[in-house]
Amino acid sequence: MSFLTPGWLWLGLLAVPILILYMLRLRRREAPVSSILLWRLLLRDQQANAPWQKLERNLLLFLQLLALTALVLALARPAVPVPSLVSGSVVVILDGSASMLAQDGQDGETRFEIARLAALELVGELPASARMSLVLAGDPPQILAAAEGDPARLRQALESSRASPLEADWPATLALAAGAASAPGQSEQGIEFILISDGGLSLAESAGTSASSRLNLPGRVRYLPVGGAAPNMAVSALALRPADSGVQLFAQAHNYGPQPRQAILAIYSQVGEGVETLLEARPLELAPGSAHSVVLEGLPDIPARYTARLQPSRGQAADSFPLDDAAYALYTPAQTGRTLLVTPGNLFLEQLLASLEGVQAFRLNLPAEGALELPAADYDLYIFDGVAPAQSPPAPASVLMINPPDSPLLPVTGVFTATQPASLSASALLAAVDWSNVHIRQARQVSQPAWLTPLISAPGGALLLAGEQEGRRLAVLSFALQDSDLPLQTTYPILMANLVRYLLPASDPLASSSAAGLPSSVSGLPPGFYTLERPDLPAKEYAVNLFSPLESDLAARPEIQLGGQSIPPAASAETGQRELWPWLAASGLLALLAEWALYQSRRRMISGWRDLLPAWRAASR
Amino acid sequence: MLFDEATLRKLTRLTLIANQVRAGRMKGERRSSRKGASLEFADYRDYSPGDDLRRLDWKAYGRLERAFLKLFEEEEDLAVHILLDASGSMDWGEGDLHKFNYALRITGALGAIALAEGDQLSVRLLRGQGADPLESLGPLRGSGNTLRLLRYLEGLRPAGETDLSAALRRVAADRPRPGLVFLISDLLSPSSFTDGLSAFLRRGSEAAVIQVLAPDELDPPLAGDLRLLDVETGAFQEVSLDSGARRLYRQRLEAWQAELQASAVKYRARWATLSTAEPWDQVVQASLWKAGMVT
Repeated sequence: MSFLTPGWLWLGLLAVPILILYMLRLRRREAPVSSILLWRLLLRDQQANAPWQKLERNLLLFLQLLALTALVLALARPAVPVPSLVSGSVVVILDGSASMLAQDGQDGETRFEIARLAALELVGELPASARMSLVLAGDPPQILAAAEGDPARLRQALESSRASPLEADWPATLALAAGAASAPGQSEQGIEFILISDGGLSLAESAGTSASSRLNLPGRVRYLPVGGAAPNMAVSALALRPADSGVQLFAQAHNYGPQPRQAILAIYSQVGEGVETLLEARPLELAPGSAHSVVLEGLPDIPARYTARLQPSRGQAADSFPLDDAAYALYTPAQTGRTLLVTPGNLFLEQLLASLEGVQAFRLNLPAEGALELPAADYDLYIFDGVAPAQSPPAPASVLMINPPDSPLLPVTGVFTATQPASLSASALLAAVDWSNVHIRQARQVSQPAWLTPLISAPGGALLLAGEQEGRRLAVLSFALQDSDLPLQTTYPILMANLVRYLLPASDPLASSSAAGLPSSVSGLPPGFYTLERPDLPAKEYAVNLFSPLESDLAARPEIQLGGQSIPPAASAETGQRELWPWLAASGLLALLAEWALYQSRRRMISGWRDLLPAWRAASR
Repeated sequence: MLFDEATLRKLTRLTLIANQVRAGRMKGERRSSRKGASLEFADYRDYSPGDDLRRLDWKAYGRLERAFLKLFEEEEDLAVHILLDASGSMDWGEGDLHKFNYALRITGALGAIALAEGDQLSVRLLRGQGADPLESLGPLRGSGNTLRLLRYLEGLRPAGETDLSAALRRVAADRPRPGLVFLISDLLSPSSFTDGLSAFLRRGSEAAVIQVLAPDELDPPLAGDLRLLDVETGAFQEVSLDSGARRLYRQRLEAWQAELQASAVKYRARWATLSTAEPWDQVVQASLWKAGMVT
């Protein structure tokens, strides 16, 4: 045992004044008595119990010295060496991804609960001067505690943390952890990162810059693995699409475990609020790492919910990760979107709209004079080509504005010609869009409200913008198609199809079969069907699935790759110090409380007798 | 005055009890088996020279011409010795609770009863290592001396250190006339009173022990860390008192009184413990009556 601040031990000399004060205080009050004969007899009797009597008489002094000793020792901070992972300030990254919800602990606890216990142990081993940051890996990641030195707060933060049934965004998590290392109060010198995880890190998926430079941490990284090789089968895919023979369903089951497993893949459908109907129950026997697909043809082309569930065969126990044992899909028949094209004449647009599936296009001839009046009939999409309406189309109809003139609906500030080079954002609207060969003579400078996001930007301004306001979706192409070679490019139909699918979501049969479109505020939902109800919009149903091979693969990762290095599991090689001062401080306070209580009780007793004496004498007379 | 006329009248109706009647030198009011000169006729005997001619039965002499002397049943007096502890420890208590004042009243009461009975009364103060000859009164006889007794008692003050056993032996060494011995004391003395008392008993006396204690000696209202000062000896004793120690004190006091009483009974002495909180006149008529000291 050693003392971290031994200088405080000098305070032990306070025992001397306590003893002196005690002796002074013990100057006894003189009381005359008729004879001390009986008192001497009494003391002779008390000699039999002398040790205890002496202790009782000196109990106050004993308690005072005990309190002083405990408090001085607490100030000197005695510590015993313990094997530990933590020897200084540390950033702990706690994996909160879906695989951490696997219940493969000895008593059925989840990996996350085991990881949390490991983190709590680290908190207990944290040296007093060190600080700990806690980062919960998830989507999005969270900072549970930043450069916190108070173990109670760290424990509280850990107790309130939860894993989510999602893949973790590891690049964001590591960036957040690196940021936490430079938080105020956290010295970057010698800081360590401890990653408590089952090793399922989706680092390879990071696109753009090189993984090794982005996914690195500015310090020593230690890896605390949790979980083992657990058997797990998952429904890895469930999708529906319209086909010539009706609706086609595709389901896939995957065995991620190390052992062959048998299960029954059951597929159910539910129409409206009706009962769930079993469509197929197929026994599967899957070798480790293999998958089996099931395709159902000729399903009715009506809106329905489809569920695929894996049930263990007789004699087989359920696996420890039920989150991926079911998958959910919604099928909505494609609907024809009524589209009103308002244009002085644009062959490119008219031909394209005629060729797009699910679009019923109407053209409005422009009046020769006067304001543009929109027809009373409802349309799902309004396309304004080089014109702008006097009033907004009725909500929630979507709007595509091409080469918009200045209007209250969309103010235009000018024209720009600097249209090269263009940069594309990572939006799904630009999927498979190749802009490299597109040339534009000039475009209009559109003022951008906050809800309108530029998707294709040029040095002079935005070329394509899209956004949603009060339930209405709006897309803007800021140039005339005739002023560009876009309609001559193969990317033109792709871009327009993407835009129309975005602006007419009901026309896409696959759009509602995934969680895409769910607001980020309701992310982290376990797989299932959900209905999103908003006062300004009709209720919409979503199917949420895990579909993550990385999370479903529960195999233990003996090491992880990070920053181009292989990181093996950490051992408690460091020597930490477990401080004893909280116990000593508590003992000291208890001793003080006991001393105070004893003193008060004696004082009350003595004053009580003194008060009684005159009355008793009077009564005797 | 220690007490008033009415109390005195009540007291004179009482009689001190002595189980074994002792021969007295003077006529008293106690009937004796000895024949002597008193009003109650007992017998005749022949006159012999030197006899009191006043007791000659002249009528018988006239009839028979023989001189007969009338014999009467003699009423003997009792020697009553009151040994009063005048040590410093008796100077304890306030007002009516004062032990020595209380002991003086008991002494006065017993003395008045004795004088009214015609007994021979002597009062000796026990102080120091023995009894000071100057610190005594008597022997007195006759109720006419009651006032003298009371005045004497009023002038007494307790003081000094007393070895009770030595003082009793010293008084016994004066070979007082055997009789009824009252020891009035708090008995708070390191030496046992029985040694001294036995010296009286061996000479045919009969003893009664009256212990007088103040209420705060029976249950002292003391607490805390104290330095107790003995008012008699000036000695100190340091004690730390709490409720447990007070309880132990009461237990020890009761045990000590039981030991003293057992010693007294062993010497066939009567025993009474009085608290100065009890009215003294009632004590004489009730407690001492109950203890078989007066009737």
